[in-house]
Amino acid sequence: MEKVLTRNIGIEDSWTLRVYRSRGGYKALEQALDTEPDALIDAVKASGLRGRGGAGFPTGVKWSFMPKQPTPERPNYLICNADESEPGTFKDRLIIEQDPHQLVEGCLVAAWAIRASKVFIYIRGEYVHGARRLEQAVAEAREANLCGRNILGKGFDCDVVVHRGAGAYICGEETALMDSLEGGRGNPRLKPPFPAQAGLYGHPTTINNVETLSCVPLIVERGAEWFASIGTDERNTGPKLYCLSGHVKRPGVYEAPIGIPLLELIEEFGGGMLRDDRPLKAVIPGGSSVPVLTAEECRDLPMDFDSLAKRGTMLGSAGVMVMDSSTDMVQVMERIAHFYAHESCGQCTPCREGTGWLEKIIRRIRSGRGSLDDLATLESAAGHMRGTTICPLADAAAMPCQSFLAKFRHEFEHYIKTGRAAVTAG
Amino acid sequence: MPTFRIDDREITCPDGWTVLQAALAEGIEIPHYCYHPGLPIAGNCRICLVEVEKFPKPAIACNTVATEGMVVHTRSDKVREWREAVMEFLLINHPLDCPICDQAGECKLQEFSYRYGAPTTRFKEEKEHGPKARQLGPHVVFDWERCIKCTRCIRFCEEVSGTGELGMFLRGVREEIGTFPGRPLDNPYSGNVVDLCPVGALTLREFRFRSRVWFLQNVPSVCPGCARGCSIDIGEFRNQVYRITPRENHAVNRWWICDTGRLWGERLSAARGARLDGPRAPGDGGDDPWATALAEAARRLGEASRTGRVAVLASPRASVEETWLLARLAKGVLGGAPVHLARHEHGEDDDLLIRADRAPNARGAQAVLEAVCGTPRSVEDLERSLAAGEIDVLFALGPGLVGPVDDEPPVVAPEAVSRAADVIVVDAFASPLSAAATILLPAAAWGETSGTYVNFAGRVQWAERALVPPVDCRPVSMLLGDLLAHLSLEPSPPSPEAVTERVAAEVPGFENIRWQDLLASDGQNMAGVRAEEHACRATGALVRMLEAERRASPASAGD
Repeated sequence: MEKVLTRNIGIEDSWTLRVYRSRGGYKALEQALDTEPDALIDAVKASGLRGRGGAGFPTGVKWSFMPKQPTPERPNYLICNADESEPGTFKDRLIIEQDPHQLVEGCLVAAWAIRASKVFIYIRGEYVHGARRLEQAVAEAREANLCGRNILGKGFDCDVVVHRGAGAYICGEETALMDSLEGGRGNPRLKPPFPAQAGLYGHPTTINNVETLSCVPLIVERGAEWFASIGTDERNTGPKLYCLSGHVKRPGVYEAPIGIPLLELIEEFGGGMLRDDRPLKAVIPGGSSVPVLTAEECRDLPMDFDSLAKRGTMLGSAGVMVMDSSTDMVQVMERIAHFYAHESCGQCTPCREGTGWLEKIIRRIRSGRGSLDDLATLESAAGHMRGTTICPLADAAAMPCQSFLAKFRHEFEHYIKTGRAAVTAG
Repeated sequence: MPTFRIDDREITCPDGWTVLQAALAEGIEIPHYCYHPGLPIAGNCRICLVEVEKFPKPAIACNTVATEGMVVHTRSDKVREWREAVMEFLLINHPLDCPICDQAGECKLQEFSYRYGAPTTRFKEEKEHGPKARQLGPHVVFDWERCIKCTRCIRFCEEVSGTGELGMFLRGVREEIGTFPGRPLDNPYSGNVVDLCPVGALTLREFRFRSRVWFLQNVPSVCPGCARGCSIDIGEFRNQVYRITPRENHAVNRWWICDTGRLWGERLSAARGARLDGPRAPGDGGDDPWATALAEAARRLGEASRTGRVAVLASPRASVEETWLLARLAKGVLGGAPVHLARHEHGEDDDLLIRADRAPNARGAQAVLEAVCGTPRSVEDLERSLAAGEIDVLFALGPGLVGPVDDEPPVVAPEAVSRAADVIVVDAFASPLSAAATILLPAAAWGETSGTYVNFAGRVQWAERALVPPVDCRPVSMLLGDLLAHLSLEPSPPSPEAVTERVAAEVPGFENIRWQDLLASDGQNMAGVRAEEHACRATGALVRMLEAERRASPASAGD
């Protein structure tokens, strides 16, 4: 398939305005500014684009929640969520570092569509290089009158601000991100009110992922129909970036039509399993927070929102982590549990207490001091973290735990009975 | 006005109320830690999870607005399981040190654990450990291990005191309440965070480890510190004030009191040396100094009343009943001697509770005196009469009736007082006035008598006696009653309750006041006033509730 999202990547100086424009960049913005904002929203709706950050909410629908007549006292804002922090996920980084103008253009088109006067790109603090590239891109765009006042002479004022986070996973949650952007402690906010009603600084706000916004110029340029023609069905459309990591020969970010079969992704793009003598054991298909799949479950599995949901897991951020037969699943789970315990903001009781509890139990099991009733405790504690908190971080910690227990229970039991891992790397 | 169901009950509440607010108003218990009506909603403790039909997930009652036709379950098996789970989460890292915890007995963790928790724990790990007994400010001590991170204290400092000293630091299970470098929790209302803390994480330095709360008798009273007259409970045990806590009263102080009021008991005990004890009168006290002093006082008052060279000083720190007896004395026995009313307006108003007038009953005293013996005269007027040598006998209720007066200017200029031949002073704590007394009648202080106080806005409240006065001090009403009896006006000293009834009959504004109604209540308004309008400002969720109520009953909004 033709590369679209990554078409500029690998070209010399791909991050500069000169190169981006020489390859047709910012034509979409010009075209968009001659289009009614509502027509743009309709086009994005028709394209079937769903949020690439993890939740898969239809982008056009989200945009349509925004007030149609913002005032200077109550402006609309657009936030680009570039706080890519989900373990196993590194797709946004590629765009940010290699093709930042594609993102900036997407931001400006989206801002026009939702009538936002300001765009904030919140980038995770660790992406130092990416932040510099973005800042440079914004400066170039401003210089070329592609952002700022009276963009391209078409009467649209919109500035772009790049803001670096300070290293908290929770700040990728949209409302915690807003708190952080406002200068406060990044804690997810109670909903309602939703961001489209009261978001950043209390004003109506739309927040979209980097990849989502990067798709927008393509929709403008090539049409919603073209976008919708890619993918599995009308609910799963467009090109998609997959982050392939783990026991494959060629890990990396790969662009494919959404819905590419998982095994094809591993074989064709990843070059197959890392070692021929170690077959596939499990895959986490969408970042560390989604339920794990066994090798069996990976067969005939289109990598799109709905097919994965049908199989009891999620596309999430498309962070595909491949594990072969040498993997100690209990160790993997311990690492995941540690991550969420470390990253819980601490606000809600079930998450603050539960994430740490899961980690401690699993660590004890791994140290050979577990007992069989610990597994029941793990299951029930994880169950009680599901859906009982302000934001989904508790779910993100609980879902892998529940699925690891359900699918690799024998490995936990092996530790409990023998004090050792069920697999030996050798 | 949505009508909806909670369990088997049909409930109607104003638009915009949450399920929790409506339930609490109906007396349905939904457990909650982080929710407090005076604070913004945080929704973090998760113990108030309820099941709402057609909702995909458990909903927190504190942030779910009640809507028409909604069906809420608070006692279903699912809700029971969720609550038990949240209780379990709350307790896994909690030290369970109830035997040495000051909160024990009034701890929401204990209460809800008992009612909604599982009897045993499944937690086998090492608990998280953290700072103990960390001093956050002059009065508040923090125990990290007991803290459930409900953030009530943080929200209080942000929204109510407006001082913002507290913040949340670190994250996850390690997160902690703390102060910023160089900015301790030191504001006039800091003690309220201790009341707000639903567990034993925040304790009052002055009360820590002093008593188990179940030994305390909580006696409903009125704070004497200023004209706000906050509703309080005096926590008494073995005739000592162990602590003072606010009593919810939406016409006066809502849920708060200032630290000065909270520490009034400490103020009293620290000033023990300044307590007046034992009557003092010229000549030999004999076997019964009280009888001698009273007889002597009566004799001199009687004499002076014949010459008309007598003046009376009333105190806004005396109760309505005490002031009424004083007024009777002035009018009935002293032949209409001029009555002056002292003033203690040497403070400053703030925007929450504290009033410039540092006396609890100026408005009540004014009303009683006006009704019985005409508009009271000023202290300046008294000073002029004294200086002019027109007064032989000054009969005064002193400024120390509610506590020590070491930090305020003399109520009457001492040079003026020295011009009177006889100064008869009824007071509890020493002051320049009592120092100048020729006859001193030591009185029971605030807390040691019952009585009525009227705050600056006209709210009439009853303070119940919490303590027995020291041996040689007598209640003002008893002293004045004795004097009246000596001077043959009243058969015997009346009780405060009987006086309240007389006041109701005689003083305009008190027509509807009955002490039986005042007892342990949030008081009554003087006729013609709407004290609620001057209540402490509303904050947090209460603002929304009041607005919704106002919308729901437009009839009462107009007048």
